[in-house]
Amino acid sequence: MPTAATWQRPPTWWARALIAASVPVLPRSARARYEEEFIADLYGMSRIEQARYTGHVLAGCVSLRLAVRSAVGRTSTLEGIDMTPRQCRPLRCRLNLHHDWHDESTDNGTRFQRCRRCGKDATGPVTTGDDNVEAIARHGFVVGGG
Amino acid sequence: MAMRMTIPLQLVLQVLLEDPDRELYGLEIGGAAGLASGTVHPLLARLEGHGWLESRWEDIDPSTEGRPARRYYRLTGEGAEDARAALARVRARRPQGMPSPALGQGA
Repeated sequence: MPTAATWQRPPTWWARALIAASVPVLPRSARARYEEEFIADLYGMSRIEQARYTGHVLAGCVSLRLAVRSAVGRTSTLEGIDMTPRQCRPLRCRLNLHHDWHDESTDNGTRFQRCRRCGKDATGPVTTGDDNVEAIARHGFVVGGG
Repeated sequence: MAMRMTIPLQLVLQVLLEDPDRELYGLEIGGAAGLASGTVHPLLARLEGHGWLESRWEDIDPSTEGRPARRYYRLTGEGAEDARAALARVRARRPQGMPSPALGQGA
């Protein structure tokens, strides 16, 4: 006959209250699941760890709501994943103000240009010699006053 | 809306791919990736929505374990393949000299 184990340190009342306050943001169908999941995670934590954990849950509940809502009806395809490591991109690349272009070629020998810093591919005719065409292709806007 | 291969997402996938057959709970994944629960659970929800991840409640008797059941996550077979391919593509696109995100050093 199995003996009852000592219960791990349970969540404090305020940690439970904070979790309960954060889950109503979620879609109704997901609330119970995430509340149970977060409460289960809290078992065995010190008070400081519980405070840190519940703070992060509160801070991330809107993001979780968006994730749960967008998750409905998804299919498993690589096409749905943007492969660009966006958080790595330097600010000037993100703002499309400056790229460090260099020449690369594809497996079939087609030449193209790619930014060394952010990995963005240059599209369109980039070697026509026409400054504006080149600028539009590279930067998305016209440079100079004409 | 396309899912972006952000650094936290890459870290979570790295953790899950270390042993694709092993089930991990959210707190465990966050600890290994160095990410907070507020970051990890939205990512897990997105991955689950994409079919890369499956989850289930732990099958335990709470009175025996001394705690409630945890929610365990594991990559699906297809999800593991797609995750490897996605990480490889991100690494290939990463500019020269830029290091890969290291586990345990997330946000």
